[in-house]
Amino acid sequence: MKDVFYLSGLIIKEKLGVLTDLEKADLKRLRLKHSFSQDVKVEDLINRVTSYSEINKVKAWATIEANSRKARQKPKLVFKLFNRRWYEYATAAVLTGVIITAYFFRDDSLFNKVIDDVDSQTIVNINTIEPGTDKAILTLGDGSQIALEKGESLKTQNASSNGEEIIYKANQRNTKELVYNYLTIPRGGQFHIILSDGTKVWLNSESQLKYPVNFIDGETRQVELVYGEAYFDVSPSSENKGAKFKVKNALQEVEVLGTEFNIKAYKDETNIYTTLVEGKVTIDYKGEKRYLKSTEQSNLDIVKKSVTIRKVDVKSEISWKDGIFSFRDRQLKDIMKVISRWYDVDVAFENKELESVEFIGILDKRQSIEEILSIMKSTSINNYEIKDHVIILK
Amino acid sequence: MTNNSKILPKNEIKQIFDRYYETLVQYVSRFIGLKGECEDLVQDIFIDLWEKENIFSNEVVLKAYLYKTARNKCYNVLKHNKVKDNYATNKIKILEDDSLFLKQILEEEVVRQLHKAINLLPQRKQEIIKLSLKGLRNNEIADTLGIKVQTVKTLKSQSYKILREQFIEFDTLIYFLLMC
Repeated sequence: MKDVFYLSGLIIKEKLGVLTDLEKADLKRLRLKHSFSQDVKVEDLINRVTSYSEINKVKAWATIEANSRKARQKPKLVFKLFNRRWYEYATAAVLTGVIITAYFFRDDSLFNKVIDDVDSQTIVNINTIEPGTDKAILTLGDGSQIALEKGESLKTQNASSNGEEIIYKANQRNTKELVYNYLTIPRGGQFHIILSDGTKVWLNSESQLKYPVNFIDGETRQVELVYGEAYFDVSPSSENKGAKFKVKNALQEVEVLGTEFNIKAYKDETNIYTTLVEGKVTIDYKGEKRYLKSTEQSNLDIVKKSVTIRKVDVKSEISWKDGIFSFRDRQLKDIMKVISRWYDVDVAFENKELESVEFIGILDKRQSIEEILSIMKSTSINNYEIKDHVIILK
Repeated sequence: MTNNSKILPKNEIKQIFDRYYETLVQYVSRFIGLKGECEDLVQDIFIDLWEKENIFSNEVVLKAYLYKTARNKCYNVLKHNKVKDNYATNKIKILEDDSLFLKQILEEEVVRQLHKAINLLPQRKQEIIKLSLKGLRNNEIADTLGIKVQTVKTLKSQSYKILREQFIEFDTLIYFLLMC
């Protein structure tokens, strides 16, 4: 291989006309020795030089740095550094800023400029912004509503709840007519439900699921994600007399046999994302069927009326159900949407440039909002203000 | 770099990354269709490089390691792909061929060094020199870029001068030292 490396320089020098006599002899000898080199010519390779510019090196290095360190040190340790009140971290952030940048940093070279601004006064009117909790509103077939919350248990004819999840009794035979319940998760909430066929569903903040109390034996099991985000671990058809499972939404229908997948269909977003963890699903959009393979994500663009499919980092897409927000190359405006749902706050960008800044990072859902903002402040945003449930990023 | 096995410090990893990242992505993209997948694969090479203890007595050993690792990774990806269409089967055959491997590295190395040298030039000179290296005549370059032939001549000769300086510094001596 040494010959090859030497030869590459000689080929360029020949083209530029700067070969010494000694090099000329070497080139001749090596071209003969390695016959494959005879048709390697500079003129044929120039287009490859141009395509170097299509590669985003800054982003690539950021990913490498984040992942290498992640392997050595668990990110959660870093957050423990912040078990102090918000006004104490201003100085702590200076000391720990370097470590934190590895986990939550801007995805461009500008992030150097702001670190020394940490001392600027942050205005927070500390009151009531708390991380979300397990909570939901259950709407029964007759329209009556029951609030489910941690610590409150509930028992009905068909289901029981400990306030963290609701479990429906296994399918009763001879169900002839479907009775629907709704589970509505408010902003700042999350909930887990086990349907009567054994299918498990995790529901994220600001979501609503419509489902029958019992399914009809052997018929397609159908639920509706009215809006929001849900992760489905579907009980296989083989355990349900071959009955398929369908998840409907206003725009698309997902049909499965038994598998795990995530659907994200928020009201304030113009895309519906369906991510398949394992198994096989069919997505039906306006009668056109598309198949997803594991680790693929379909993106239904409501505005463009188109469906695209790509491979994604599945772990990062579904981490929300395991108590973590994981963001990979996500714009701050999208990250703040997730945060605003979980903490039930509104976010305003005073500095519009911040909206499109990309981040890589992992956040623990139990963190207080001030902790998260101060990590951001130490690396990327200049300052922030919290006022009456509105976060203003400056 | 020393002969002792050690974990490479961040600045050395970064230097290696700066020198070879694009080159490796280009090499990998000969076999893997999706650009994102290529980049992921090459990023993994650097993550591994960072985590592991390594012995690289010199740049040539390191460079050989990087290319060989990239080749192996491509091979594994294609081998484990459940769908083996003609495209994949053909790519696997190419990967298995040692002499083709050397040819491809030769090409990537030419491209890498050219890019490094050309990248030092201002934008317009880069465009001119690339067209000239492709074999276009002065008037053809002038037409393509919509500028005067005289401008092409001037900028081209300045560019070649800078480019030549880059390569004259490479001394044959280095090669013989490495052979020892």
